Amino acid sequence: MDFFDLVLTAGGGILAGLVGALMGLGGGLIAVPFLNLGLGLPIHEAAAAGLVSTLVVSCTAAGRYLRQGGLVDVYRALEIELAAAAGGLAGGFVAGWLGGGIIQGLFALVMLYAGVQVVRSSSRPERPEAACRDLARWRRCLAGCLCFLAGMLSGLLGIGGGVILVPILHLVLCMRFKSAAATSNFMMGMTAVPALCGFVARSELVLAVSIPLALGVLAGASIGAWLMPRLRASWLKITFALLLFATAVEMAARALEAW
Amino acid sequence: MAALDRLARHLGALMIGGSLLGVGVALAAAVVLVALGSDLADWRMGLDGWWRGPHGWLEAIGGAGILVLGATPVVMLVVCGVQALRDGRPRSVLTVLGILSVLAVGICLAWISGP
Repeated sequence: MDFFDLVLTAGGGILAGLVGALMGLGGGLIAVPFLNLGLGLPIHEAAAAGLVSTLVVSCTAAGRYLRQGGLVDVYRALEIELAAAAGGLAGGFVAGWLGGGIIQGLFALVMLYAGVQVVRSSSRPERPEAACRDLARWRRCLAGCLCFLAGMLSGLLGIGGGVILVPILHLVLCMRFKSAAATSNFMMGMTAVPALCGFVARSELVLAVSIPLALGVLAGASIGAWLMPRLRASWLKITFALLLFATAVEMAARALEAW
Repeated sequence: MAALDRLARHLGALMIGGSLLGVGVALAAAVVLVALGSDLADWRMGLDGWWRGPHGWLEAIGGAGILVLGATPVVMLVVCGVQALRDGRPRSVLTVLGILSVLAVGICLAWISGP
C-alpha cells in the first residue's frame, strides 16, 4: 500500500462524510460500498473500516450537538443504548459466521430502505412532541427490541445504524426529528465499539484502510456541514436516493454472484 | 437533567478532542510509515498485536490512536454514569454499568475466540 492508496481511501472517506453530513446519515453507508465495490476490499474488512468511520462521525457530530445544548437527550439515549450495544456486539461476532455474499445482500436491502426513507423524508410532517408526552411501556419495549436490531445491523454491516435509529427515536419514542438525529449520532459510537470486538478478534480491522478513511470522513463531514445550507435539499435527496438505489443494485448483483 | 446539561459542553469537548487526537496520532504514524517505505498491506489490529512490521513502534503508535478513538465514547459513558449518580438516577447508573459490561463481554469473547 503506497501514498496514492492512502489518498484514494481518504478521498472515498471525504465523499462518505460529505454525503453523510448532507443526508444526515453516518459515513458507513457510503464508505463500506466504496471500499468493497470500488477498492475491492473484502466486505468484512470494509465493514470493520466502516465502523471506525462511524466512530469518528459519532464523536465529532455528537460532540458538536452536545456543545450546542438541547438537542441530545442523553438519559433517553442511555435507556435504549444497552439494547443497541448488545446488538452491536452480537452483530460483530455473527458477521464472522456469515459469508460475504450474505453481508452484501443485507447491505443491498438496507441501502434500498435508506433510499426510500430519503425520498419520503421531504414530504413527511414532523410528529408533534406532545402527541406522546408520557411514553407507554410498550413504546419503550418496542424501542429496545428495534434498537437491538439496529445495533445488530450496525455490527454486521459496519454502518452507524442511524437510518434505523432515527425513525425509532422519532416515531416510537416521539422525539423531535432534529433531536432524534442528534441523539442517534450520540448513540452510534457506543454501539460501534462493542461491534468492533468481533472484527478485531478475527484481525479484520485493516489499519492502513481505516485510518485514511477516518480522516476523510472527518473532513467530508465538516465540509458537508458547511455546504448544507447552501444547497437545495430536494436536488440533494433525489441525487442521493438514486446513488443509493444504484449501489444497492450493484451490491445485490455481487451477492447473487457469490451465491 | 440541568446538571447534565451543564456538563454537556464538557462532554462535547471530550468527544471532539478524543476523536481528533485519536485520528491525528494514527494518521501521523501512517504517513511516517509510508514515507519510510513500509508495506502497510498487512497492518491489521488483532489480539496478537499490530506492531509486527520493521517499524513496530510506529505501528504501535498508529494502533494506539485508533484505541484512543475507541476509548472516547467509553470515557464519555463513564462521565455520564458519574453524573447520573450525582443526579440520583440509579436506573441510568445501572444502564451505564450494563453498557460497560457489554463491552467487557465483547473484549472477553474476542480474547477467547482470537488467535
